[in-house]
Amino acid sequence: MKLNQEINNKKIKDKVQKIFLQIFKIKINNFENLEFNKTKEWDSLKHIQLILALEKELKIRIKTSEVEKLSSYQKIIKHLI
Amino acid sequence: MLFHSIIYLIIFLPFVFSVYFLLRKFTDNDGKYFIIFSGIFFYGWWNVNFTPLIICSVLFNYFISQKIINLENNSKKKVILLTGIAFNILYLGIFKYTDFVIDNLNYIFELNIQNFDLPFPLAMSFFTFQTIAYLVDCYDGEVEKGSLKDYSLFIIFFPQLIAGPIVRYNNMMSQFNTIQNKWINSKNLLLGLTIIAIGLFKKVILADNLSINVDYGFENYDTINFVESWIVSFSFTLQLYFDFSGYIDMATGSALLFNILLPKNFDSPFKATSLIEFWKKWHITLFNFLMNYIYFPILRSLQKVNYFNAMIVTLLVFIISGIWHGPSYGYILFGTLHGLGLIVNHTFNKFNLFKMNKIIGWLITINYVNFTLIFFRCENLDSALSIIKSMLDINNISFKTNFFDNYYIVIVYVLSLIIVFFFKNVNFLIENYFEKKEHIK
Repeated sequence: MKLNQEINNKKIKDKVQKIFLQIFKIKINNFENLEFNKTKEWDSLKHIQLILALEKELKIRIKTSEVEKLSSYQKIIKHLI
Repeated sequence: MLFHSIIYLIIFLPFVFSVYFLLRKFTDNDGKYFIIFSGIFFYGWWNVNFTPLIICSVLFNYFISQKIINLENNSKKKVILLTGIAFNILYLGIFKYTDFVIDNLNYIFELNIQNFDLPFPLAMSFFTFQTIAYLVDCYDGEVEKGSLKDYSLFIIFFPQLIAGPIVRYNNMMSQFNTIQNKWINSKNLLLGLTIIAIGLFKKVILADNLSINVDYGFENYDTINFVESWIVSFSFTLQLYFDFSGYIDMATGSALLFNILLPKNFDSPFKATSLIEFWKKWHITLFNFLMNYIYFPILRSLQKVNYFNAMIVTLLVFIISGIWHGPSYGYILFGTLHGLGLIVNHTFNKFNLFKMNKIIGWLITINYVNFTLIFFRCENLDSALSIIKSMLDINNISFKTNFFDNYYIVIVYVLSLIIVFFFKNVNFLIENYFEKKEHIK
């Protein structure tokens, strides 16, 4: 059961990282450091593109009030797992 | 009642503070009703006739919010949410923009419709946005079913009632309901009083003295010379900052006395080296509202989110922000110019044209903000254009001015400039204190 959970989490992380690479179109060495408004490429436009891509790829619905809260890679992973 | 008035500082605030904590210490009462009634009194002090308007808004929106929370059918929920939002915008629009619309209709179609001369109820612009955010949060399931008492407290809590910061329900209620916040906290009290004193200094010593030259300059816009026009425009930029951020400091300090931490609203905006950065430091809670409840939802509703769409929505959002500030073309132009400025800034970043030197970026930003604020302050476009013309009239440079005719005013200017460009702001005090508190825990 725990193993299944871990495999599932790994799959989600991989998907999210793939989405980040698609949206930002840059080489990312450390995903953990990525943060909205602090990472140069992560501006408001990229943020909304990222949210829409997450919704589409992961087949989830992100609420209006959650859009601003998902402001770093770590927060997004924590929200999804 | 104004924060810098004697009645507020010497009577109202100490009285409400004392009774609130006495109630909580010696009775089972949570003091919330007392704070609500104090808020209504605070609001009614200015004009008692407007109190029914805020009470009606609170009752209506509470009813709508509970309907949204209780419904399970998503499409019905959405209809109620949109009705609620439309009602709030209409409510604000009737009081704030009716005469503006009539004036425009009269001008365009050469009509002669009489103005209604409706007085504008204080704080309405702020509590309208705060309410809309709350209704959306209810729709999203972020807010749980709550009491009318809690909702009233959220809107009518007097420190943030009149001019923000725009607060969020969960953030406020979690603080009010924290058991440790039931008692007087001497450190919060000390910090709160210090921040009130800083806000008072900004408002009374700096802003009010800067306003002397501002008022003179904007009244005599057609006679002031090159140097005077620059002094007048920068004086207004500084005055507005000290006035508004001083007000917010007094609000933050007052709320801290009740162990409530309000969100930060200013963060040394004149140190920004780009317009994008400026809007992360100026009227932060308004900008966050515009982003989260207008910009993101509009972009999400579009079929395709691309750079072009995002820039159009940016412009639209800032035009809305201009209209929200007040029924005048000066405000609308201010919003539009900031929208356009942000488009230029984003385009510059997107195409990575060249690396902007920080000092040049800072100079461009502060001057752009300063020029746009002339439209914000002027009563009509002619006077704004006249001041800008004087500022650009390099053939007519004269250093003759009576603006600095006493040492006191010179000291105010020097202090103002040192504070905005070199000093840390009150957030530093707050963050430092709360960080230490976390550490101790």
